Amino acid sequence: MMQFSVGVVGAGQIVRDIHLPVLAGMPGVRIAWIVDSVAERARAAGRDFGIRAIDVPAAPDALPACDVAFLGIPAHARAAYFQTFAARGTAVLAEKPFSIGAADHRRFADLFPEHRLACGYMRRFYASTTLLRRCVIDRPFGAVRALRIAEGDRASKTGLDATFLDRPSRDGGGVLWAIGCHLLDLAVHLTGASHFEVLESDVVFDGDTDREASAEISLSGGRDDGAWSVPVRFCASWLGPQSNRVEVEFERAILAADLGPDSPVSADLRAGARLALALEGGPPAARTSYQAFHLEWRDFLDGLERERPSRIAASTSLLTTRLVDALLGERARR
Amino acid sequence: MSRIAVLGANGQVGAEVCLILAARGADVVPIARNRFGSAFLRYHGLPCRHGPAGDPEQAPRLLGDCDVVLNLTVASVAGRPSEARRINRRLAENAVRAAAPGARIVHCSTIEVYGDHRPWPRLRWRNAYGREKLAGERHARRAGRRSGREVYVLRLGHVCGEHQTITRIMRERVAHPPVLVPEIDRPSNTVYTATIVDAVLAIAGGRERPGTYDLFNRPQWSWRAVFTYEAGRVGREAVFATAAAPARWKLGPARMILRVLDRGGWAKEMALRSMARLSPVSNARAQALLYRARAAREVAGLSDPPRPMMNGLDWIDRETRTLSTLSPTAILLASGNYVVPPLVRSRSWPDDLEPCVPLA
Repeated sequence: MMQFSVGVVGAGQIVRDIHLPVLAGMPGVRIAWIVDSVAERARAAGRDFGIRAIDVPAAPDALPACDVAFLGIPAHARAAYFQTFAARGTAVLAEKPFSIGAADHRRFADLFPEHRLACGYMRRFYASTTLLRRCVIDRPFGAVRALRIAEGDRASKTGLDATFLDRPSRDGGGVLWAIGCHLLDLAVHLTGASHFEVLESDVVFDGDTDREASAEISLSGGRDDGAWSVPVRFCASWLGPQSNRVEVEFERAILAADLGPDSPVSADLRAGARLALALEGGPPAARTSYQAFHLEWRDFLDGLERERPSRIAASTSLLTTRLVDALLGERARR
Repeated sequence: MSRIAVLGANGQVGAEVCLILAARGADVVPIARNRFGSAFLRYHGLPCRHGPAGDPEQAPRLLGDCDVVLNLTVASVAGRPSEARRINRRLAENAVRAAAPGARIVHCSTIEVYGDHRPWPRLRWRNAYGREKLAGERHARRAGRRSGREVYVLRLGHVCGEHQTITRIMRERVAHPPVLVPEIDRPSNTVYTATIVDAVLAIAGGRERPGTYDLFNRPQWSWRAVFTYEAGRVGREAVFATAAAPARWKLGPARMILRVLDRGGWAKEMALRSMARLSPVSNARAQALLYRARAAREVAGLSDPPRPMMNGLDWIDRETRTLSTLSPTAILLASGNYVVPPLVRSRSWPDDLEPCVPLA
């Protein structure tokens, strides 16, 4: 197993609560340094996890060397880091959303070989996702007829620094970039779509920030005789309770799962019975958040070692970013 | 008319109380840390004020023109308890000190401060949440004494209402009858948001004396009454079934100790050793007992019976000291004046409320 030194940019909650605990226990990984625009935040994380904390330099190219950089900072602040790390030949894993808008997504992706750049859509590693994807590919219940996915509730707890959520949607704020992109990515990943069409959408804006987005989308793929399309009903909201489930309607059954990592998958058969489905064998699949983030990192690092794109290669989430752009419409223009 | 500031307006209880207060025509000032938190209220047409009430320098610009402050905040004790304690103390103190001179402070606490509510424990330990809320009560009272402001501590029971989790769960349960509950005629310790609003308006109107009160429905509702009301709200009839009290309810602590001791199979080993010294008849009886229990457990698993609603339903009656001028909860709810008004999207996203004191 190769050894990787990882530099961490950003010491916010997702880094501190999720990525550092996972990386600290991962074989073949050494966390080389951590940096944050708030020096005290980096120092606190460095102290608590035994990592070298460094003061934020005037420019990213003054950062110390590392094999892999993790970008845990808001998407609007990443451009200089992508350029610096690409120039150095440093691989990058970025938190979701990868970028604000498809134009930036393409621009940043073009800077790196495909296997050296990834975006952390970790829900792709959930056991429920893996099982649903297998059912789409292997068709034990027939072909996919429709997909419904919704997440959200009334925004309540604000004890954390949630100011980035209030930024204008064109700067990465709002519900679509915060949770909607996860749902859209899951829909794209499950179906394996390569194209989309937004049939109908309703985005509720609070000033320049989207707080709820619902849409009917057609996802499609294949070519010529093998072409297919799947209608997708989607909703992400901070204004009211949602089902917080994904439902995939096949010819002979409706498969459903909650959106948490430990959710079982049920299959309601057309004949009337309900089955509980479980994966057996195959590569490990996550049943907890830490497992999902571990698998995300493992898959990316294995991809680096073998020089093959990981399951979360940035190139695979371009369609997701384009979908968010399409739903935001003119409001997405920066 | 009193101007009522609501701290924690973005929380589950706070949001609903704000909506009802506004519908009642009160001059309500919902306060949230940021616009993300206040989005739901502003979507429903309520102008909000934004800022960190825990910051002693910022709190006056949020509360300084309010003559009633309803404090529904609590920082989560999960994760970093010392930080939560520091924040909760600041919130409780600032709510009192930063309000207008002569303001009345309504500090919302919980009946969790009384400790374990289950019927059987002799020692009633307080959980972390209950300890934190009790500390908050002390901070609020102390700040009130020092600043000469009246402090009313309301210890809320289970809060019910259109946007409350417990209400959603109850409605789901009545939709899939029967509702399996341990003891349906037990006092419920529930309080509808209508009664919370009634209490706040009574305090704002000077009809109550400062002090510490339990706040439940007036008069106390049984769980039967609560389920029946909720069933009516969704156009159903509540059908009940009594859940047998599991053995652990009687042997809880003993069973817990046995489980801990038996982590390495110790109890089983000791039982086998003891059995070897007993007569064959005793051995046979013990084996029969064991097999009966196992058979009953496994057969019960065949039908996968629905689980009783929740432990909260067997809580003991906690009501001790109540506000004296409140209207019966049933009348408030039936009046239609204490419920969340429907969303009118043309009123969504009003301008923010200005801070009351310009920042330096």
